[in-house]
Amino acid sequence: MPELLTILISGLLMGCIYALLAGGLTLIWGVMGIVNLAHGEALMLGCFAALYFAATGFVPPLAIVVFGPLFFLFGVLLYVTIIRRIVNAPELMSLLLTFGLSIFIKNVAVLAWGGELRIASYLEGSFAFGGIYVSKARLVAGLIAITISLGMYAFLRYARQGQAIRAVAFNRRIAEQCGINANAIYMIVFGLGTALAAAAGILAGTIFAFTPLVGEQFILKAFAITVLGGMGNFLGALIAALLLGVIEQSVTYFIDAQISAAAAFVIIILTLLFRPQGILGSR
Amino acid sequence: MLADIIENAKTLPRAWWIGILAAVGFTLVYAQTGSPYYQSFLMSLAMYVVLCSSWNIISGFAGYISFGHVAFWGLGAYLTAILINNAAMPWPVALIGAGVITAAFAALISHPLLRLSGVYFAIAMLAMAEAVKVVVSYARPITGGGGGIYLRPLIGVDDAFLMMSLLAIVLVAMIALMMKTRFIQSLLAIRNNETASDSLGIPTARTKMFALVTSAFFPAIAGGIYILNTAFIDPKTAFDISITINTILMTVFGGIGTVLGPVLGPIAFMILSEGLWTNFPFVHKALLGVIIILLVLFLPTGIVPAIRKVFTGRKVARGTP
Repeated sequence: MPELLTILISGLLMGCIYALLAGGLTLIWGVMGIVNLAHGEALMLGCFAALYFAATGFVPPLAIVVFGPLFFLFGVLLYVTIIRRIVNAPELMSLLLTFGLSIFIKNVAVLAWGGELRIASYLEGSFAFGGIYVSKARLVAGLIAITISLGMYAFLRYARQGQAIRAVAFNRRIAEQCGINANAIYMIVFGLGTALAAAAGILAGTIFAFTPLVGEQFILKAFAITVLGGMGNFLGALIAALLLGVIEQSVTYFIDAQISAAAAFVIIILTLLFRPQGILGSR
Repeated sequence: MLADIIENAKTLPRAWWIGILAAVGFTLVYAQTGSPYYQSFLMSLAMYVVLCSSWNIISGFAGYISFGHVAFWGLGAYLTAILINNAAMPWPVALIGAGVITAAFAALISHPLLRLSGVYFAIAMLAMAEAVKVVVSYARPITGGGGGIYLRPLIGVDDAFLMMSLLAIVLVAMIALMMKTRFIQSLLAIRNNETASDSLGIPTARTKMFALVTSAFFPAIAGGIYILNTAFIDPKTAFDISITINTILMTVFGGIGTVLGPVLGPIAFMILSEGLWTNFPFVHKALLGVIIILLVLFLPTGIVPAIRKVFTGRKVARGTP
């Protein structure tokens, strides 16, 4: 029983980080209709931000406070220079463009930082209560992640700007007729999405060893979560992320770590076949 | 359909016939006289012409963007090797068998997958390819698992070049001849408006399935020819997502939904990336990213429509040969 609880908790904590990453993806997808294949690269840059912070002697998770706004601006910059031009283009064009962006950022990072594994670890050891072990770094990361996710959800639900974002996602033309500047909303959404992915990266960088190519493994998980939670559904993504975290940990423990990597794909296929609107969706 | 093809053959410009004959002639001569290095380069080129032209059927003509096409290529390679090693078939039989089995697999998955559209279809195909990769990696007794599968070397690079090149020529010529047939015209109608096509009496489900099956058969044969020459393949190579990505990029570069786009795209792209490789060995991948971004922003319809525009001074609708 303690083993099962250990797996459950560790899976849930991992799921909290996935939720942060997938929340950004689903936000951009739901509002702008763009599947951002460069989302994993924002996470990768976040990992390196954590590393930089650790090297200067600060506690890495604090990097979110400093780098969060910077990544928001980075997202805004990307939107203004490039993404803006393909918002209404066919989906193949946005997929290709963000893919090009992804390999550009990834390979510049390889040139700048090299390909070796690094980790921004700062907390060692685990808490133990009655046979249940919880890694300290993972607990901190998971709690921060879930706090940000819930804050983001509250923002979208209750804040005026958040309601404007949901209005544009619901129907761009009517939102514009009500006086909402849809282009400004797109800019904010892309900035927020990028910042969320980077925050997930900062937290993931304190738990896992990473290279500039780390985005590849995470983007596919974020996809699976987005599809499972229902495209554009922030709360759905949160629940789906926790589910994926637990499923992965269980499969790793009971069967094999390599198969657990395939869990994401099985989830994608099954969801699309049997419940294409996602677990919470109604279409 | 045959009547349509014959009708189309009569109206096909003479330049097409000259081009096809020249390509066949060059292939036959170069397979005898060429250097192995360039034969191998041209074999890769022909392989991508096959992949791009096949992908173009389901994604360019029908508008269903597939992100999992490498699965058909990889399955073709694996099945060819398995049929030779385990069923002791002669290689030409194994090659055709691999193509037929892969086509049957495509028919099987087409029913659930082609109900999806847009980004969902793209992601489902991606997931399908990864799932096939996992299954192949785990079916150790038959596929050799992650360690890969070995084969006696059966054909040299000259014969592989010959076969791949002829396959590419046959496929492109076939598509050019079929442009006016009900099949491809139905696909174009589906791309423009599936609901309207349905209500006009086009059997959309069957047409899309046939498109996916055709689109899977030729890559499988190409994969088979590839492994007959290399004599080894592992899941990492056989289901490498960058093969899918290259296919998509080259087709878009050439002109998605055109007949010549999937031919000119690989030629231009391979020359370009070969040039980048040799001149910028360290930054060529980052440059590739920049090229993709520029391509999408400034030349989204590809080079074929752009060239045609220069010659005729007017825009031509996608899907004309």
